[in-house]
Amino acid sequence: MDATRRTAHLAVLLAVSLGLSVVERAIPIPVPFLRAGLANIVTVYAIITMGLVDALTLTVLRVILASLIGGTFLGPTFALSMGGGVAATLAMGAARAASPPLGIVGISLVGALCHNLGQLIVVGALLTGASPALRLVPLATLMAAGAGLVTGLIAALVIERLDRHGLGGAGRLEGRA
Amino acid sequence: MLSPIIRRRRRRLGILTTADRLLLAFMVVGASAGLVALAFSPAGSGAIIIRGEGGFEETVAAGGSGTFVVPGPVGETVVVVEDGVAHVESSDCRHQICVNMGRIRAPGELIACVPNGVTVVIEGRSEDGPDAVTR
Repeated sequence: MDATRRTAHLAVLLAVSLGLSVVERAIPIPVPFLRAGLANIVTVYAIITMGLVDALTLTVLRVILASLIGGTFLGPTFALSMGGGVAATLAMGAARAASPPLGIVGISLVGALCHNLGQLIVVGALLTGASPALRLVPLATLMAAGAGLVTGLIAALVIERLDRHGLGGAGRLEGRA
Repeated sequence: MLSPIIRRRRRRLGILTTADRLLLAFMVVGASAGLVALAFSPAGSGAIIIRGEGGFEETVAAGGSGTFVVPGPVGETVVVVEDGVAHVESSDCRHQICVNMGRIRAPGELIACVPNGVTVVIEGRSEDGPDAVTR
C-alpha cells in the first residue's frame, strides 16, 4: 500500500477510534473497568489489517487526542489509558503472530486482558501499592473477558463486511497477510 | 458466493476458534475462582487509611468514625467513615467515579479518586502493610 493511502487509512481509523473513545467516556456508568472497550474495536481491526506499528501509532495518537479533548492530558487518567492501551496493542501484536490457532476474538481477548492488567499495574505502581491492585485482578479479568468477546465479534464483523466489498485494510488486499 | 479473498482469509484467521473459546473459558473460570477466593478470605476488622497528594495521610482505627476533607489537584475529596465503613461523600472530580464506588468495609478494599490523587484503603492481611497502626 502506498504511503498516501496508508496515511488516509490511518487517519480514518484514528477518527473512528477517537469518536468511539469520546462517546464511551460520556456514558455515565461509573464502573471504571469499562474503559476503552469500544475504541479497541479499531485497534483489533488495525492489528489484523495493518500490522503492529500502525496499530501502535493509532493507539498512542488516540489516547493523546482523547485526553486533550477530555482535558486530562498528562494527568493520572492519561497515564492509565496510555499504559493500558499500549500494553494491549503490544500484546495483540504478539497474539497476531500466534494467530493460526488464535482467531480474531482471541486476539481481542488478549488485548482486553492486557489493557485491564496494564491499568492495574500502573495504578498499583503509582497510586495504591501492590495489594489493592492485586485484589482487583479477578474482576478486571472477568470484565476483560466480556469486553474482549464483544469487541472481537464486532471487529470480526467489520473486517468481514469490508472485505466482502473489497474495502478491507492495507495488507490483505495487496496480498500481504 | 464468498469472494476468493474471504475464502483465503478464513483459512488463515478464524473468528472464534477453539483456542479462542479455551482462552475465554480460562479467563472466566479463573476470574470467578479468584472472586470466590477473595469473598471467602478472612474478614477481620482493619484500620482505614486515607491518603492524598503531598503526603496527606489519615488513619481511622478499625470500627471507628471520622470525616476528612482531602485536598488535591482538582479540588477537595470528602471521605466519611462511620463505624469502620468508608465512602467518598463528595469530590470535585469530573466523573464522580469515586463517589459512586459505594462503601467499603473489608480489609483490602479500596476506593480511589485518581484525578485528585486520593485513596481510601481498608488495612488487612496484606504482605506490604503494617499489622497494626498505633497513634
